[in-house]
Amino acid sequence: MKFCLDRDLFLSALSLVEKFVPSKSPISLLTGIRFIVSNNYISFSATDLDIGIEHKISVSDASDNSIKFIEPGSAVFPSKIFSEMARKMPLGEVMFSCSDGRVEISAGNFLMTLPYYDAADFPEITREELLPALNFSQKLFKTMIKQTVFARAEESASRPQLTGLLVECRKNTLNVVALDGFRLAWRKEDIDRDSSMVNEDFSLIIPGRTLLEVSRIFGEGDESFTLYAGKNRAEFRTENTVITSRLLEGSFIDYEQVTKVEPKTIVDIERASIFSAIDRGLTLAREGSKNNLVKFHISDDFIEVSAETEMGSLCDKVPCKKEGDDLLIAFNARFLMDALNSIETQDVHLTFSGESGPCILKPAGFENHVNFVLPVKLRSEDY
Amino acid sequence: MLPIIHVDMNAFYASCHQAQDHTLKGRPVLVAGDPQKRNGIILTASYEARRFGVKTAMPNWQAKRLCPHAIFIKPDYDLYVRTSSRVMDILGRFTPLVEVFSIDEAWLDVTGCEGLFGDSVTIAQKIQKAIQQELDLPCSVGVSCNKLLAKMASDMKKPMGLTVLAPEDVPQMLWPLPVDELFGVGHRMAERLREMNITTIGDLARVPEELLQQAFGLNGRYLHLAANGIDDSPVDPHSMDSAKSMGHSTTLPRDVTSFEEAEMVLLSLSEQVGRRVRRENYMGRTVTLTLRDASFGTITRSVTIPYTCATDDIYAAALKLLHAHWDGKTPLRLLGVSLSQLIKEFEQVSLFKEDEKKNKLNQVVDEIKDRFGDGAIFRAKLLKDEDLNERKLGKTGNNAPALRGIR
Repeated sequence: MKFCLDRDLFLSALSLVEKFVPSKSPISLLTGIRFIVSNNYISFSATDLDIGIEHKISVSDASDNSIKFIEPGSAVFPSKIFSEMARKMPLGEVMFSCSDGRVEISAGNFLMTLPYYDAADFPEITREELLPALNFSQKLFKTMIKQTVFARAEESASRPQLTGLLVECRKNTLNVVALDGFRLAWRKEDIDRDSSMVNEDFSLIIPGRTLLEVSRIFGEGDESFTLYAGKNRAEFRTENTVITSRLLEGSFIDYEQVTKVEPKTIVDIERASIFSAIDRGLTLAREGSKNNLVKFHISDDFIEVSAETEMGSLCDKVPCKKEGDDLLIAFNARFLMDALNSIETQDVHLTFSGESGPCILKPAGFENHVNFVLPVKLRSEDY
Repeated sequence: MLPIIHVDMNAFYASCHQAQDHTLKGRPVLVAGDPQKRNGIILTASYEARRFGVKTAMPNWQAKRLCPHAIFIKPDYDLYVRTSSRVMDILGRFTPLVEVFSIDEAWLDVTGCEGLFGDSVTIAQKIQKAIQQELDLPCSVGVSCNKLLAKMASDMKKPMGLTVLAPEDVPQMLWPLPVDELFGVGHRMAERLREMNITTIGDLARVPEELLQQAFGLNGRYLHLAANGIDDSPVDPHSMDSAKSMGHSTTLPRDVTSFEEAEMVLLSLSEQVGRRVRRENYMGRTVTLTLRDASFGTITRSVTIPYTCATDDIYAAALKLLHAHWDGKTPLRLLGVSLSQLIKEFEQVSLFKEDEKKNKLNQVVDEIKDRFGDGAIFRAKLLKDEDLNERKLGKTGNNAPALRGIR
């Protein structure tokens, strides 16, 4: 295998795939990056078997002749030293040439040799048995992930599926849902069956880690991607990149059901003002041993936000429009801030259903983005 | 100015029994797990037994060989806890600044008490005398300018010692001691120091601080200061109430060599930790498992979980650690479980009904234990091992009739 590549082009491809290389693996081959050179493209792959990536650069991607494929072949290069060295190489063209288990890398006056592994046993990234499930906008999917992923469980021994996000197609709606047991974030978008190529409803639990990588790699323009799915794996395919992932097993809570609650108090409030009031509350509340607890006292024209710890106490009044009952309720401030942070409208619409019921947050005027946060029960001493 | 006093009860467990039963006075008493069995170990040896070479953690059979006429006694933890709080009450008469360090050790800061009781050495004598006369218990007392030196001093003469260690005496009194006697230097650190050719505290004091920091990181600075007798930590009477962690550990009455046994001990420890955490209205999110093997190699391993005070969650995390870090064969001498990163308890409403059920269950079990004793209700898993039951469930006398029936 022998090829020539511009250093910056090489680096940008490397930075996409190196995040998928496991730092430790019982299979030492997996701590490397696999290169395949064919007549018209070069591909970079990495995987830890749970998730993986294959990224291609084709000859047509370079306007000048910064890519030259001299001799096709494949090899696995050790990732750590390789990535580090690549960043330190001189600008311009880098030449890679493999023979007898050593790769020779030269750039300008620089020359080094490293060992490489045989690529024959490197697992294939793309699985042929998967079927296309959805074609959708990269940019919009990225937003949907961003607006939900924070609500997933970081770690859950008893319910591991909650470390993932539910990506579900029901009729003409694409739903992305994350929950950790105390809160839930749900984002939905209408889809057009024809252009989205959806043949049937599907429901996948995709690891949060995969989706974070997906949102990192997806573009901001009007490119689309295709989701391929099988029984226990799924793939996100774009023009040049495939991201593959194991799926999580288990059931998700019925998000439509739990977010339907009887409203007892309804509040419309400016997002930025309630956000900064809670933010100030958290700054004090996280200092004490009260676990981020902030209290809301909701009356006709104000929400009074208060926090109290061994250190001190604070109180803030935020004007609002209220319908229904007055309410005294407490929350983990962090949960509310995460939810408010994901909302982009100027005003936010809050629905409460009593002191031990949830707070449902929606961007004013929209129904396609729902945040659900459960309260902390107040004890008599907290009143 | 030497205002800090350290009180260290001598052979505390054994002394408690001797004070309670005068026929044991002057005789070699060994408090040992499972005295009936050959493979139990010595928890505490009275000074009379120590003269024969009996040491803590020695197997029973070896102690018996060294001191054939020794009297073996089963541990009675209720007695020790009761006696300990009476000792602490005595200390509290001299100053409110008493920091309880363990069941048989405490520091006092007697700054400003001179007018009432005399200088610190006089106070130390009065403390020793009061504990001797009122409770019939021996203790060693150290007097110095800080907690570290006071503790080192109380260790120098046992039993019934009273040692004054002024900072200017550090070179003569502290430096000749072997380095593993320095407070905070464990078995393994001592080994590493010996590899660096540091065998006495004096050797350690002369090593440049930078070198120690290179070798031991943050501990390096501590080592440097400690070897030079420097310590500015205050005597904190509240060190126990604003707890950063709560844990229980147990020296096993005999070596544990199977997962089944270890799991039972772990469950009972988890239950004790959970109950204590719940009683003090805390929740925590780091579970730490301590394992000590027969050669006294000790490891601690931690895992972070969502905030909890439920026995089940603590046990599940400890169990996972046990299986990840123990082979199920190496004989275990000690097991410990603790919960840290504690915060005041709060009740976050959950989407899952099981979570609330779990909390209610713990509440009910705690209430039953509070009213009817620890033995009134317990996990069925703990029924299996009769040997361990006694220790886990506390004194038989407290147990509900139901349990005695089962037995």
